[in-house]
Amino acid sequence: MLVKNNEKVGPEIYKMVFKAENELTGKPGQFIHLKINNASYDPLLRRPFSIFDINKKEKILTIIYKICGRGTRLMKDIKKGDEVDILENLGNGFNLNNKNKKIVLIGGGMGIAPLYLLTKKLYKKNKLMVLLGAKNKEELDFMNNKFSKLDVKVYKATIDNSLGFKGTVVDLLKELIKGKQEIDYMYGCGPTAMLRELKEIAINKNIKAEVSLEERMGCGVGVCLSCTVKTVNGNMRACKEGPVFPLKEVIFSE
Amino acid sequence: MNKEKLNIKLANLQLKNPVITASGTFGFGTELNEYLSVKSLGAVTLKGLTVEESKGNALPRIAETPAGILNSIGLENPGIKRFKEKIIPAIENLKAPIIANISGYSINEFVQLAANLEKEESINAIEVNVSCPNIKDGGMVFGTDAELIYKVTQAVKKVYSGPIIVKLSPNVTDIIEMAEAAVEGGADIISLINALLGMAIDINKKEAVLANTFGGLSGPAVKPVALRMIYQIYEAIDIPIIGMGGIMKGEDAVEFLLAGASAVGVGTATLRDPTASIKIISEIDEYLTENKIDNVSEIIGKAHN
Repeated sequence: MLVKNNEKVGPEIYKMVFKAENELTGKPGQFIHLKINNASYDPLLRRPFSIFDINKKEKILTIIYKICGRGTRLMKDIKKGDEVDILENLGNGFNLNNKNKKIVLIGGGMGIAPLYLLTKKLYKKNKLMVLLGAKNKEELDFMNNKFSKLDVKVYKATIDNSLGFKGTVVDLLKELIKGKQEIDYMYGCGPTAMLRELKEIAINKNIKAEVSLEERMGCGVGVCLSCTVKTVNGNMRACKEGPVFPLKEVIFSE
Repeated sequence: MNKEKLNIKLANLQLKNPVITASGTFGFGTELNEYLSVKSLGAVTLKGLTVEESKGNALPRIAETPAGILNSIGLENPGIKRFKEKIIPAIENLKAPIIANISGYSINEFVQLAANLEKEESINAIEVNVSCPNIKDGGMVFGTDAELIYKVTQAVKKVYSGPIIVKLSPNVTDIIEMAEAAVEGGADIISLINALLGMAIDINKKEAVLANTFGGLSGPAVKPVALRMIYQIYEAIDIPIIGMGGIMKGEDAVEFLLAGASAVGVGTATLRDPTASIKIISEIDEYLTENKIDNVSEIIGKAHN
């Protein structure tokens, strides 16, 4: 795909926009697998990124990434007009069949990224509460601005209290549920510690939930078994049977 | 493409080209159907099988290193029983020669696996993995002891009538000794190299990156080691060699053929690009055309004077 734009949108956070030749058929929760460098074997592996947004009419796909290692550091130097090798539509994606439900979408850090397209698909048919959490205001600004333009209730949490609720996004959720908020369904994505806590809440309050897991991946297409996830139904591949799993089925390691 | 040009015979396996997918990088043959036509491949080697189901090692199981990857998957697989029930029926439609890869924790387990595959018509050969660096009490233990290689090969040969490939470990002092032991035990083909034992350390956490501490290094980083070993054993043994270790493109494959391999295994390249093996086939073909070579077999071992 052709890179249309690659710009900084927060501290170490970047937005990369691609123009596709063919029709984009990716669903919320699916991911792309991006080859950083065609000419060099270093880095050797692709990098997976959840789809942040798709504009089908314009054939535009957007991802949000944070610089957290060698691969992403090289990615920020990719220029407008560069051609990037991308494997599309990987993984299963979120369940989009919910209607007339009270739904919580909860994202922590970069885990917010896959919830944007999901929110766009769900908000007209359901009542949504979107909970976004990050370390501080600067990290949350871009996402907050994007979500705030949609017709949904957005709640913010920052660890350093620079925006919204002080604490983690799960702490925020606990506060909201205290106030007798009825919730039918939850979607979540974020660090393992967050999802583990979310699982407890989902079980205690008997709320159906699904989460997108971020595991270290190799091939992204189901052959290398690097991203195995333990579930009550046995080992599953985050890249193939996932990355979205029913929360109660995921067995988090200690 | 002149199809005959790439034909190659490995023991009594007739391959339409010398490119074989390496075990553990191509699932059970059907996973990448949407990316490539499996029937275009020389052969497919399946994910390693053990007698009992294995859940594999803890995560992280993969770490990237300069021009390579370390893996410690730990032979996650459904076990021979479920393999026969669930996977064999899907393999039957693949229209490419299929090689099953087997790993045991004892000689008896290797025998059990081979005996179980003897009657499976959709399996055309078995690769005896005496070289997995990622399992305790077995795996590489067999591949680093010439006496054990001989015994495992001989035992498997008694119960399996098809071609037997013995996959060797590079983690040895004398690869020739290991190859000769396999030949003596009755191997029909030798494949090498399996991954080189290595590790990576996270300097912030001050601990090994892989949960298993050590893992198998593969990719372009190991290619020179692989080539050297193939070059060495080509002069010592008279059975065909499947060469592998960091083959990413046609030129790499040609190097292996020139070193003495009759066919090549493509592994890590598939993890970077699911269609790598298919591209390598056409790049080998281009090399032959440019150099006016009628058949790929003509270049095997040509780097030896």
